[in-house]
Amino acid sequence: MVRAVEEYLKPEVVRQIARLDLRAQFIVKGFLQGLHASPYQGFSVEFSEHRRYAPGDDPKDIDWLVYAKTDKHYIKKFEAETNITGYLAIDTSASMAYTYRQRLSKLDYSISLAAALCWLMVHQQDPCGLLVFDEKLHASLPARSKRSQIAQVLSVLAKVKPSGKTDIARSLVQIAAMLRHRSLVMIFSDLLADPDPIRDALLRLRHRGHDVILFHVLDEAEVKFPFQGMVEFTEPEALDQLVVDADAARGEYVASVAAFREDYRRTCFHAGIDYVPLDTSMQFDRALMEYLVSRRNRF
Amino acid sequence: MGLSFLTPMLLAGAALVAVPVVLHLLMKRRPVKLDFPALRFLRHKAAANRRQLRLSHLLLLLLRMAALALLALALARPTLRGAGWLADGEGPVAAVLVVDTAPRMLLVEANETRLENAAALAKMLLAKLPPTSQVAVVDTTGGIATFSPTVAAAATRIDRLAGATPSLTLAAAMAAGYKLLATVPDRHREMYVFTDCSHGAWDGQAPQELSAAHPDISLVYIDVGARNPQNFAIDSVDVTGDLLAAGTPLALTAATSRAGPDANRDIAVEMLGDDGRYTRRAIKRCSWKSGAVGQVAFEISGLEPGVRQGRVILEGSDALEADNVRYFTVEVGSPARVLVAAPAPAQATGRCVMQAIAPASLRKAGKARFEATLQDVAQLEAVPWDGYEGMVLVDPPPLPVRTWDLLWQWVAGGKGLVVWLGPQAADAGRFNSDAAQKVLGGKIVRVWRSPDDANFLAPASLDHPVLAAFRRVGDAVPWQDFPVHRHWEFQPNEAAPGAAGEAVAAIPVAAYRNGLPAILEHRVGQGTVITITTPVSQSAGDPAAWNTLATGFEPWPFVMLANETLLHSIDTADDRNVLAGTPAVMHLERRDIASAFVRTPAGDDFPVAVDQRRGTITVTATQMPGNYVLRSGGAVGGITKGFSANLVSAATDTLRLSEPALAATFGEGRKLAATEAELVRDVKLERVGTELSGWIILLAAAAMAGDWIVANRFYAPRDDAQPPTATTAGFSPAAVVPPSPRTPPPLPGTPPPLPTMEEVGA
Repeated sequence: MVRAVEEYLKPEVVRQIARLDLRAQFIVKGFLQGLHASPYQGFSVEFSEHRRYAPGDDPKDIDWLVYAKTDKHYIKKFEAETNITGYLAIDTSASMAYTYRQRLSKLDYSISLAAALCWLMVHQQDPCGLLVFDEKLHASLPARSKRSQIAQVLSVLAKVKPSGKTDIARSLVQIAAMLRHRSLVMIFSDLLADPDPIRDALLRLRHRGHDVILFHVLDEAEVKFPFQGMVEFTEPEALDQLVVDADAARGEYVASVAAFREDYRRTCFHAGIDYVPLDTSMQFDRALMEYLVSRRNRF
Repeated sequence: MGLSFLTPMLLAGAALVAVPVVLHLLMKRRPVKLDFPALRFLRHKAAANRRQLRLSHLLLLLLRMAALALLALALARPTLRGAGWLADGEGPVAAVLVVDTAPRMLLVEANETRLENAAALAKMLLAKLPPTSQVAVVDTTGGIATFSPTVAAAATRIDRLAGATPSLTLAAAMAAGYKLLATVPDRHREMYVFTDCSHGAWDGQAPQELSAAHPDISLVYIDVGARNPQNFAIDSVDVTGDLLAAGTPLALTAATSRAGPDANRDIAVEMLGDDGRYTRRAIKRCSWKSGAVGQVAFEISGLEPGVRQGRVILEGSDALEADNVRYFTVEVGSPARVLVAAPAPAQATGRCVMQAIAPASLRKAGKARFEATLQDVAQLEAVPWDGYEGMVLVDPPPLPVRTWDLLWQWVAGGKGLVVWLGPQAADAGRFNSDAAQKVLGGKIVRVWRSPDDANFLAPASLDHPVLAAFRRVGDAVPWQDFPVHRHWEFQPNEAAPGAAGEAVAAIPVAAYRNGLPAILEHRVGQGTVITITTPVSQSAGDPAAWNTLATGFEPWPFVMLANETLLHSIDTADDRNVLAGTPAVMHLERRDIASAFVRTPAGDDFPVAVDQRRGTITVTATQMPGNYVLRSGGAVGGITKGFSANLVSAATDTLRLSEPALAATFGEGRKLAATEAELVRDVKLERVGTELSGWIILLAAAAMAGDWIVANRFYAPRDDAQPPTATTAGFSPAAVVPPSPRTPPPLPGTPPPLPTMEEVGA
């Protein structure tokens, strides 16, 4: 297990993440909090402010003492605790094992990213759990904020063997049903499946009150299609085959992938989901940094 | 121009185009196999992509077939040549060597004549001919064109070629060569034309028409012309009047030209003496301008009566000897006896003519051309005509038929008659008797009147011998100062050949400004009748004078005209100056001479026959330029005549044709070899053709390159360039080893390698 931790969090990576930490702190106050400084208001011990009641507010939040004094309805607002439960949902279908000429497959890239996020959450005392799925959810770790949680998460991920088909939608529905508290769900997948059910599942997850970050991880070859000449492609999950003239098909393919990503981006935007398109040629620490900064700016 | 193959058997190799078809079908290379999860994005374009692939396959197949076919074609060594399909590069040929042997080919440059240069190249060419070839050597001397028995005999014939007076043009010699080659249709036929590419050789010729008419015969021109000739040339000598009266000076004009830098060089006139030696009579220093023509005039006086021959010669030597000398012959005679018949009063009416042809001053000095006797025309028959060589009828009235008949007989015997028509003719109906028309060659019709001074003699050209004397003055003759107010309209007889083949119609020699004939010539037997349609019988003060020809201010044109017409009419018209190679005809006054001898310029004597019926001697062997002497009857009581033969100016015109003129003469695409190497090249080109293998191999290489590009575009290398496929489980150990040279370099921004991880199950 220790080995697994070292594999994914070797000194260079940790150094990068530590640097990320320092840089994040420099950019916003408390980068570690920056991940989810958050929209959760309600049950908390720390008073935040009073606000005039507006139709739709929960009447139980009305501060009757203020009403007695002012004869006006005010809502009592509290600052939620910054601790939030995060779940790393990782797609381990066969397609995630693919890489053309990058050192990391999509799964490796996702695990590295997830490990970094896990490390961040645990270091700010946030509980972090793990959900591994392909056609269905087949492994999970409950969210904990202990330092040993990182090792446990990585231990599970290191044992993951990508195989079989993927059913992201079904898995997300399962996750939505499984998580009883509102959580931060970080999904790592290539989304290479029928998009409509996935969209529905994402909306359902969002509807249950979870904050969702969708890391759409594609291989560099899947984005740029660098093949030449006549190539016989085999789809690793369905084992379909297709012979194409790569040079002739490139333009069409790249446009299709861009439209596919744009479709997801638009859907996620409307649903309030953070959509992070990535490919395995991007340095994941830089990708993570950019995402976190942009997220912090939004809140 | 045709396509042939040196190794046609190898064309069978073209059948190998079937190989790529079979290979294409049997061993179609498989595409590179790769895993790719995002296949969904390719599916909807799969059909179009498949069609494109099929087209690409077809293109690849065609390229490979083309490459093989082109290689087979290249190995068959296709050649392009004018020889047709049957030619065999090593087989015997039928060749005609046409060599220009005109004297200009003796031009020396680089210590050899053009002819020697041609002979050397010709012998080199013969040495390269296949041994059993048929070879003919055709030159421009006009010999019979025939194949030599052997190639060696042809070489001997080449050795014997010498510059000679041409009797054929080079184009005519080519035509003879083509005719000869037509007798051997089964062989590969070649013609080689050795030429100096000069104006003299090709002016007015159209050899490209000949070659175009024989496309199956290979033709190569060999240029042996001089590039920088150094030559002084006397192109011609103009003798103004080769029949001179005793005491009359001989006027000579030599036309010159120069090739090379400006220089000064003397020209001399030498007369041939009775001892057969030339004596110098005049010499002039001439300035020769480069590329320019010039004229040098001489006047030789004191010539004794008789046939006098001479030459105009260049002092010193130059590159071409043949044009350094020109020959001439004149006949100096004692004054010819002529009868001038004029109407009464003859002294008045015949005075102008008498003064013109035999001025009293010259008569007294014994230098007059003519010994003239004035006679009343009414008494014409009263005097015997036998002693006279010519007669002038001044303004004759209608004469009796008998008189005209006598005149006809007299003129036909070789005498001369000049008739100045005038007012005495009066009634055209009476004047135009058949006998008169027979003598004059036509009839008078009416009198034309031009009251103002608008009409005068206006000869269109000065070509006729009657007018030759005016050439020295040219357009400066003031004919307009001597208006002609009246003249007879003379209508020549119908121009039908007579029974004896002689012309019965007079021929206009010169006309008035109004276009009507002024001077007419009519040949009658061996004699000549000259008719002038306006008179010179009237005095200056006569208000009814028909003209002022003889009465105007300084009437020298009339004096010349009177002399020249009379001279021409009594001239025996011997050919005293002929072109070398053309026959010279000499007339004999005596019919008792049966044979004569001709002495050639080389000093040889040979007999010639006399045409007793015509009283002429025709000398045909005049190829050698020089002075020829004809003798008969011994030194006493015999006759002596002579003539000169000169080369035609084209035979010595060495001026080189310009490149455009050469192209126009030989036609586009001609083969013109100037050196041995070029000749070998052109011969090879004609006999073997231009090999196209190089070009075809280039095309084959292009097809192969196209194949390579297309193949590489569609098929990745089979074994070694397989990109790393996706790992199926986490990290593979290979992922962390240093990249091999075949592995594509990491993309920029690739994260650093992570530590190796064991298999999950391990």
